[in-house]
Amino acid sequence: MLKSFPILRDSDTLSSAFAVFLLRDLEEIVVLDENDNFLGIAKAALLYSKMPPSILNMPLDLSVRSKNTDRLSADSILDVGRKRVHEDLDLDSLNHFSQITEPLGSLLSKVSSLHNYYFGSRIIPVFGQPNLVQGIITHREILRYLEQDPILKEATVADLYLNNCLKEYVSILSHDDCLAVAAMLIEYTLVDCIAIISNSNKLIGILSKTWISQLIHQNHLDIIDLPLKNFVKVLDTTPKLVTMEEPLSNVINHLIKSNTKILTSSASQSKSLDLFTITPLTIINFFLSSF
Amino acid sequence: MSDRMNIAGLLESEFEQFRNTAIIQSMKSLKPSDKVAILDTVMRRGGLGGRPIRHIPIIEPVDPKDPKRGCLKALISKVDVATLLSPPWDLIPKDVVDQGLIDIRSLSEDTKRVCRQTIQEAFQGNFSGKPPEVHYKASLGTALRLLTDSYNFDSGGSVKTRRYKTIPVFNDQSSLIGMLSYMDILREIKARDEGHEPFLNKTVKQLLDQIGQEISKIETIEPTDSIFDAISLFERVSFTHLPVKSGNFTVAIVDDVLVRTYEHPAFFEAFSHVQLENIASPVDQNKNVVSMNDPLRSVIGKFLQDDRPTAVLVGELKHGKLQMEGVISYLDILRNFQATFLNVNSVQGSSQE
Repeated sequence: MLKSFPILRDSDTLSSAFAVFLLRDLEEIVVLDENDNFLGIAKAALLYSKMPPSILNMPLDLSVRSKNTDRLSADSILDVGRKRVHEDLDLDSLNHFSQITEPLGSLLSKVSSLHNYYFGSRIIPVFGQPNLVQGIITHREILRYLEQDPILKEATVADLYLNNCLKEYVSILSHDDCLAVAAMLIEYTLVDCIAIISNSNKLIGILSKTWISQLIHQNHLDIIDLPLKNFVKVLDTTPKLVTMEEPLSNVINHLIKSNTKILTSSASQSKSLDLFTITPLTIINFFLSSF
Repeated sequence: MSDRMNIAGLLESEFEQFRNTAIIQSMKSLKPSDKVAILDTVMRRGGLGGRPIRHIPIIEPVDPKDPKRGCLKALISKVDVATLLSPPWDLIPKDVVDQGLIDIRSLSEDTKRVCRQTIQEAFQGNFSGKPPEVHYKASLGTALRLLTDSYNFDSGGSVKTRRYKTIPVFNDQSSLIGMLSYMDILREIKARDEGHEPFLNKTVKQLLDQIGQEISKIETIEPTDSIFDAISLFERVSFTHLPVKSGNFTVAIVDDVLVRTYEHPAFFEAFSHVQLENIASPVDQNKNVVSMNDPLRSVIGKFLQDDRPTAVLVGELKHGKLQMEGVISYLDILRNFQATFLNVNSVQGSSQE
């Protein structure tokens, strides 16, 4: 279960960090000092929010910029990119980590109690000696380990609902809402992603906190009043929607092999449609509650 | 600096630095019909280097193609926005979420409702009175008076007063050309030594004597009091900050922006037990404490720090405990400056304003 892991040094530049996050499609990376001591965990969302948005994520009609804006963006990228990780990136210096000798049961309890889906990191550094990281464990690796357990093989998505494990509420916005509305929801409501629906209530895409962070930048405030439908075309991130009858084993298989978000829906007390994401943590919590 | 110096001169140096950057070019004056979501995003990320903006002028433009030229309708401050919205998620203690004290669904729906409102709908009180504005050739004295005056506004049917820490500056064509804050004035006062060393060298004790501050009249609050006790007190006394006292010692200071940030119906139950000691800024010699013998030059330096305290505590800090001898707000400095250089009578008011 213990993974080899990418690292950043506190003396690395933000450009280097940006390249590693982007090219390896990572959300979090362990940061060490020059003596290999653990300093914390850097998050992609925070780093991306310091850079101007990628031209590839802009709507087509805005991706051709004036020379003046291009120059400003390039200068801004270079200015931020030259900074060092220790200068300008707040690290999650978490208080939850594991020792190499820690029993698996204890680790799982810790994940369940400390890794609230709203807070903290999704990776767990494992220490061999004090402050020296020997490897990391991700929620996905734990899920891979638990995959063959009979409890999970027999369950369906409805069991997650009945055991009160569906907690990652997904806010829904119309594709006519503007980007600033999505940014505000992410800032104030603890949701990790936002589902976008069309006028006919069809689910057409999903926006993550990290992705929205990339688009909100002081030099590009001209895009914040654009409707979300402009960005959904750019994104092409249709989530997988599963029913309550879906076998959990299918969901687990999908989570292990793909980065696509999995959503499920239930009717709330107000009879409106409630959407929830199913993440590896959802299933780990279900496993612990059933075990 | 004298009263012959005008704002144009003062602003010249400010604007020269930024004239050719996107920050000034993209400085937004929003319209009353813009959505709250636009306002919030611009305020959170629209400042220099992506920093927050603390005041946004709301202008009804004469020509839609020139949004900065028109009639100033309102000034929205960070406190106004904090009062309207729930706290940002990173300020919510983890245990509050873990205990299930927040209904994420209803919070999400309420936030959607608010962020789709227009600025005029959401901030009706701000539109109820004429906000201050200044012409770019007006005298420094005029600007100082506008920054120290209080203004009436409608708050749910009752008339309340408020101050503005920043005022918009317009040119002859009624176009917004910048924002002038008390920070700009303090920065200039500190930077231009010539002619006012006596003011900058004045001690804290001399200032407190001149404004006649009585330590017994300073309102304080206790560390075990709740956020809502502080809100209630702020409502009653119209102060912007309160020293937090434990027994004979002052241990922290709390300001209205912070407590207003936590004030929201969805969080009433969740935060009813949160004590001020968990959120107030602890006394810190480098940040919010000055001594009786310190010159005003160093007091102004404290106000100009990155986290912009609007008041500092006076006293001697020993082993993390402060025997408080007074409070100085940025208003005390501005008013005393007016009295010293601009022949304006010094107002003897509470330093907590």
